[in-house]
Amino acid sequence: MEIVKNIGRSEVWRYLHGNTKFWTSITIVLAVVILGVIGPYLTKYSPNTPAGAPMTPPSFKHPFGTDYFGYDVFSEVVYGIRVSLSVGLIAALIATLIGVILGMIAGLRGGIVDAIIDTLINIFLSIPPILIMILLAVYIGKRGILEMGLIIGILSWQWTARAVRAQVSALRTSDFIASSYLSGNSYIKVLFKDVLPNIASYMFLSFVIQLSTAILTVVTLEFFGLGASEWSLGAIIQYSVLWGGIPLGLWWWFLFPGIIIVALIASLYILVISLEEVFNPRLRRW
Amino acid sequence: MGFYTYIAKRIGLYTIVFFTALALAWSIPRFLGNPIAIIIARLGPSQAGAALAASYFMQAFGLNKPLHVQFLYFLKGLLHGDLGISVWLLGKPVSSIVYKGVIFDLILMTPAIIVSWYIGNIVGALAARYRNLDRILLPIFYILTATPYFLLAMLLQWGLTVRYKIFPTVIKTTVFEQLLYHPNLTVLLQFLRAWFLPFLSLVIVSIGGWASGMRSLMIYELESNYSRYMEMLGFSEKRISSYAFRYAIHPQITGLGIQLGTLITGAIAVEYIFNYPGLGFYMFNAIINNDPFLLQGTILVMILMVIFANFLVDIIEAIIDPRIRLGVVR
Repeated sequence: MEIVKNIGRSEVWRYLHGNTKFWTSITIVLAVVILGVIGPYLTKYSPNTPAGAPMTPPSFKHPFGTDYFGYDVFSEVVYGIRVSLSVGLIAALIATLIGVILGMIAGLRGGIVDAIIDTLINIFLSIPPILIMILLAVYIGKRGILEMGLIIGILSWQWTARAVRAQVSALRTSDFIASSYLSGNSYIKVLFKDVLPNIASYMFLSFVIQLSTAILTVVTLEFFGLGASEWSLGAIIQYSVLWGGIPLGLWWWFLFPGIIIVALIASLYILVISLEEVFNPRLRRW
Repeated sequence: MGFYTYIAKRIGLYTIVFFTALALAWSIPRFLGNPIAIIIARLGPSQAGAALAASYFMQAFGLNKPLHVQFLYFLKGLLHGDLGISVWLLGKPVSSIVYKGVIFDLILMTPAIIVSWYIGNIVGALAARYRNLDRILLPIFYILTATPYFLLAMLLQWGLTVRYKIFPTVIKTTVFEQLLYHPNLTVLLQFLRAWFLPFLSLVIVSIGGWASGMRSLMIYELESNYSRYMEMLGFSEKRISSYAFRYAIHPQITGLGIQLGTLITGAIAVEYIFNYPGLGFYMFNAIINNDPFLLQGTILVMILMVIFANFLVDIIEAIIDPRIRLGVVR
């Protein structure tokens, strides 16, 4: 048993070792996270007070330039990363949790429970979730990091639930589940001891997928002016539109936060496909 | 299960979806917030007047009635095409705004979906087949999918109207009215100039999604047992790919309905940035100008459009998929 485990581990390691997709994407993701964590210590300007002459292009003093009001865009961005990432993380955690639990229950139980959950999944696949998120965010009153994470999380679980349900449904009729029931294990025990380990790798993948789509949703809501804070990546870009950043040609105002958003989300996507290749040897081709 | 049972089942599902959407769009503003307070806040600071106006609006909108009566009023209004009035556009009925918005949205989004779907599937399948091409294309696909619609729209606007003045910066809003009521060739050409950039931003971003999806589906098919078997029998790679393509295209057709949902939300920001008067343009303005009825109306109509598109895709799928058409499975 120990030997089998070790072979498995070294094979994964050997596969990851030469995988440029994996290493490039994880480096970019970590770089953005680190910028968000230590960024505020790298800049001497506060995002809440004008830091210099307005509308100056990037320079050594202001690496991302200054905006229409003279605020340092770099400071805005590093504080913005913190806000947008936190909301995305909370949303992804909630969505994965709800999705996995509902999907497992539907897949293992079958029958009427499955029918109800399946209808629920289909309803939320047919209504564009972001429209309901907009309504909730407009009327919720206080829009904090936690609230925004919750709004996005409770409306994004359907993708995970559908995939988990399909995987668990396939497991339901298999022999090892039947023998687990026969040896006297309760439904809950089968769920956690037999089903969960089988979907663990997918659960992790699903979390990364949820994180990438959650961040895309977060910045979109922020761009609509429905974000958790003024210093979020989407909000900075919204301000640049509302205050004429485009006709004035202040490209640094929206381009730098934009590049960080795109780099982060694209890296998360590529991380997912490189991990898929690790978990599913069939997809490995080059 | 035959073709008609399948269609009947989908109609059943979409009826449930429709009423869930209605219930959400009706209950969220009522239980979480207070639309009247938003309208009053816009009127002015007078305290005494505010109380009077509040009680007037409570009566006018029937908000002092029991909840189930309110919901019935809401449904009745909907059936008469009454979506309330817009505060931002000074009392204009929401239904007339939304009506024009839907027309301009259809003109913008139908070609955008078709073009991006077509190009995306072909490019994605090519990337799956040729490994060298894949190395270049894969990062491009993922960068495109990761780009928020509003960001690409801003880059295009900055690049093509400000930096290089290829497209007009300011578009006369009368062009859109004229196109509906007095169309002629010059108006059409002017309209196309205003239409092209929002169209382009929607197409470019969605190509990434279609192509990366197609690439994964094709790789999955090309690595499956039947492809391996064909390879052993000595079929050409081209032949194997063409069989795999037929399998892989199926989930992409299913995805069309869902993609409209993402495109319609992507268009909210794009239409605002380019001042293109579709539904999204009005919704964005409803959000930043605190206009409760316009927001509710645009959201409801967008949901309706998505449900309808999903149903259309289901019918197309039922026709082209022999498993559904002949009632073999499902």
